Amino acid sequence: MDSRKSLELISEMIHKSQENLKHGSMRPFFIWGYTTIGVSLLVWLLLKLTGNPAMQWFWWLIPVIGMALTLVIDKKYSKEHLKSYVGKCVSIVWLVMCAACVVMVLSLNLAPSGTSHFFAGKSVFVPILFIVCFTMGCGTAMTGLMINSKVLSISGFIGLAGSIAFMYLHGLTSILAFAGAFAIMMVIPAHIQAAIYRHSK
Amino acid sequence: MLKELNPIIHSELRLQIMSLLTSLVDADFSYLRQQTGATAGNLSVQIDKLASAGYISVTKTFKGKMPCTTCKMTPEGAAAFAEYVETLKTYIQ
Repeated sequence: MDSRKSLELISEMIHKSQENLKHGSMRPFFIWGYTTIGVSLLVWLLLKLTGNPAMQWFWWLIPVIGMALTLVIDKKYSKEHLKSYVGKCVSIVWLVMCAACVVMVLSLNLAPSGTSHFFAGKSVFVPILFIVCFTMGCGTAMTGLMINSKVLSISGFIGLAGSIAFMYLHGLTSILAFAGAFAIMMVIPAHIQAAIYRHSK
Repeated sequence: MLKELNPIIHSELRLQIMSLLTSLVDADFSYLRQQTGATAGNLSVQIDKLASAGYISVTKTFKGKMPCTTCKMTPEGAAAFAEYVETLKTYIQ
């Protein structure tokens, strides 16, 4: 085997392993994106129909459905279990971002009614939808930068910047905006990226 | 004078295995077989050679009732592979 053949073999094998990793890599974006949009629309509908604030508890369907779908789909595709070092870093980023999001949401749920934070001499309420959109935007932007996906990087930063809107939006409108934010930040970019991967084959 | 290429890595199938493992955390036997197109017997022999040299670690487990062999590149393997590529570059230049 000569040196040129060796180099060809190395690049072919590395290319093959990268191609395999692309397959299904957008799956978490579809699972969590569509779940969040679906649950947001459900909560919006229930609140509109009943006006009962207890319907907000349905938000917890997002982690329940998301995790259940992740487990079921992971089991279905367990044969293609492959993890690159980049993939491992992405998983760690999402683990930390999701943990941060859950802790912040829980702390706001458990805080006494009327709690606000003081910043620059004024009292500021921190809406939960802002925190979720902010952390998920961070996660999407970091993932995009790590896997060299322009579309995910840009959409992540749009989500990050757009999360500020939830400091001003209130009521049912904010829920619809939240569903829209997840479509723009996660679902649409993931479809575009998946199409890019398909065409690059 | 050109430096000799590492003979443990410088074989078609072993080089394929090392190249696949270089960007993966680990890979199972069936994946390596599928990607390299090698026979199970030959692949098994070459994996053993790389494992004996300390370049990869091999873990044997079960997936349900099916045996599952997982290979992972060791830090020694990564260093040897990097050195192999560097030496290869001198051959091309």
